[in-house]
Amino acid sequence: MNLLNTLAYLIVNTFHIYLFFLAYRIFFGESRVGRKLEFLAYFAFYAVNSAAFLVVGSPYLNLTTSIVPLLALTCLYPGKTSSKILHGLFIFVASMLLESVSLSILQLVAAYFDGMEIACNMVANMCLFALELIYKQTGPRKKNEQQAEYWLAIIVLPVGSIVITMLVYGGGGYQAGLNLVIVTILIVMNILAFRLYDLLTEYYVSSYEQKMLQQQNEAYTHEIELIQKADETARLLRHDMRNHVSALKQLVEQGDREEAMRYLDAFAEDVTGGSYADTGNPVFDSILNYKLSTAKDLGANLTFEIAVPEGLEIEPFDISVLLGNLLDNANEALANSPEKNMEIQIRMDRGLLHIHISNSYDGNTQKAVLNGREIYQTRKENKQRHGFGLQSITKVVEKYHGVIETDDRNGRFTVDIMLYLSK
Amino acid sequence: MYRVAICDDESDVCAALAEILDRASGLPELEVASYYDGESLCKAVERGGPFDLYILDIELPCINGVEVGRKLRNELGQEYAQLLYISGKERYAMQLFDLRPLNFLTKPFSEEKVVQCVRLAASLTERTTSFFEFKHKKQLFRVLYRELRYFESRNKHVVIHTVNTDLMMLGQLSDLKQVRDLPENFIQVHQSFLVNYEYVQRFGYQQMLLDNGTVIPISLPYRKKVQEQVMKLSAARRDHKR
Repeated sequence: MNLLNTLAYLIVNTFHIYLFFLAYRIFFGESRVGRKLEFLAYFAFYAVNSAAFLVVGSPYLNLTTSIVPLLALTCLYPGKTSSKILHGLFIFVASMLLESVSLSILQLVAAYFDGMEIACNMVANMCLFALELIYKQTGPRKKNEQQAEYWLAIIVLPVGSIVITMLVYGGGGYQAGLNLVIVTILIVMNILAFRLYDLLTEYYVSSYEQKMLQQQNEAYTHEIELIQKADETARLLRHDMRNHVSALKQLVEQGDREEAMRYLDAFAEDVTGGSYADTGNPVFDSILNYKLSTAKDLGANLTFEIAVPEGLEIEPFDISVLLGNLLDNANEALANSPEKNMEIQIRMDRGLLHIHISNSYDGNTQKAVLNGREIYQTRKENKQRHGFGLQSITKVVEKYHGVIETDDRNGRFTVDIMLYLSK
Repeated sequence: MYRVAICDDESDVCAALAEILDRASGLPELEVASYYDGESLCKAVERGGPFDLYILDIELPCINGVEVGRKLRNELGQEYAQLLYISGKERYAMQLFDLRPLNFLTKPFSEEKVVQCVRLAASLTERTTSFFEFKHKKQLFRVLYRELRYFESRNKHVVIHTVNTDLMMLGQLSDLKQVRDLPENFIQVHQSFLVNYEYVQRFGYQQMLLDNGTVIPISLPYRKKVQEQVMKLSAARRDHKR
């Protein structure tokens, strides 16, 4: 074997060993020994396997230097021994089969050409790569649903690579040096493309989690603000109490019954004002009272009707995300609208939670398309943060198998939501 | 004559409610009776005077409003009557919701809201006083829509489950739906089940529980339609009150 062919073999074999590594990662997950040791183990495997092939070249030795280290490498991963042996044998047999099938097909379609073994190995490895990626996205360890483009890439990239390999090897005018470069680039591109995709997915997931955390923090901050506000009101009330009592006393002494009654009515209004919901569900009540008092401060005319049981069967976090975002949107619209009124109805009926929020607005909505659906866009500066509010609402609605309907006709923006609370 | 029972231990509240109903417009002709505790109301019903609408205080002495509601629903055959609750608080027990209440009035209640609720109750009752008619073995049967709990397909028959008994007719549920114009509160939830919304105690996504404890599956092809129909029914009730 000449130098260039040896080099080509070494490069294709790197890919081959990488595929074993990838397969084990997909089957077993992270290794037990850390990345450095894992890398060293695979490198040793690579070195022994390549040396046996290049120096001795006996088929029995090649077989032994593949299967024995391959089974030994399973020790790096957690899991039952029987399952490890089974998976090790499986990947070995699969790669062997792919190689012989590729060879038979190559021999069938073309006469012998220089570098046929390398081309054959390349084809077999690309097929194995595609199969492993497919298994990764469908097998028991799959993480997220993938877009259609990803599936297209799984097919197109390896198949494209196979076609290029066949063209450069089988096309006549064999140039070992050029072919070597092309094969190397193909392998690197394939590995990098999918690795990059994984990294992007990981980044997306972690940034999403971060946003959720931020939402949660905001909900808690609001709750604290609300508690502080309630505390302040109570303090004010205690302070004013003396004045109220003496005023009433005077009215009663004067025998002015009517005026005393009027005074008491105003007083009752004052005491109950600012509290809209008292359902006994702490998060539910505090979010509603907080957001509705904000609406009232904007000068909005409120009508509301709330009938939910104590011990509502919904996660406090979910209800806070749902109502917090819905009422934030309503308040935002009220602030921009000359006419300000809002109607809220939240009712539990036959195991279903119905939320109906309808508010006046200035008639301008901006819509954007998200995942093929039309959604409303905020007019606030930081669009990315606020567009997230709608996504969060949708997420909660989906979690409870619910429905959300919106309507923006006749100068009113209306949201209707229905959630299934019992299993 | 639309019969309304008011039950509150404060006679002032009963009187105020009766007065509101007396001067309200847009209601059918009413017959209003007041009771000051749950026992006397239950006794009156037992003696053969069922009502169409019960306006019940939750905080009643001896047996509370929730218990009175349960008794009316489960023991005194008041499955299709409407229950409207009055309370001084906004805190409601979970069991209360299993009684399928029409709504809640919080004291002090606005006249407008009382009238809206009674108007809705009357219209719901009125809509279901027509009959479902069918022939079986050359005999004509007439069942009040409001007494129909659900239809069930069984082999070549349709079983008609009413509050009192089960009846049979020859045919398929699919024919039935086309041939008869069922009121909108009848929902097909499964190839073999068609349910009266009024008798649903709890909707789940995959199944529902009826007031008499029957569990009915909601099959996949019908789930979306069930959601839509329930949304529509709920919206109609809200808009009606406006």
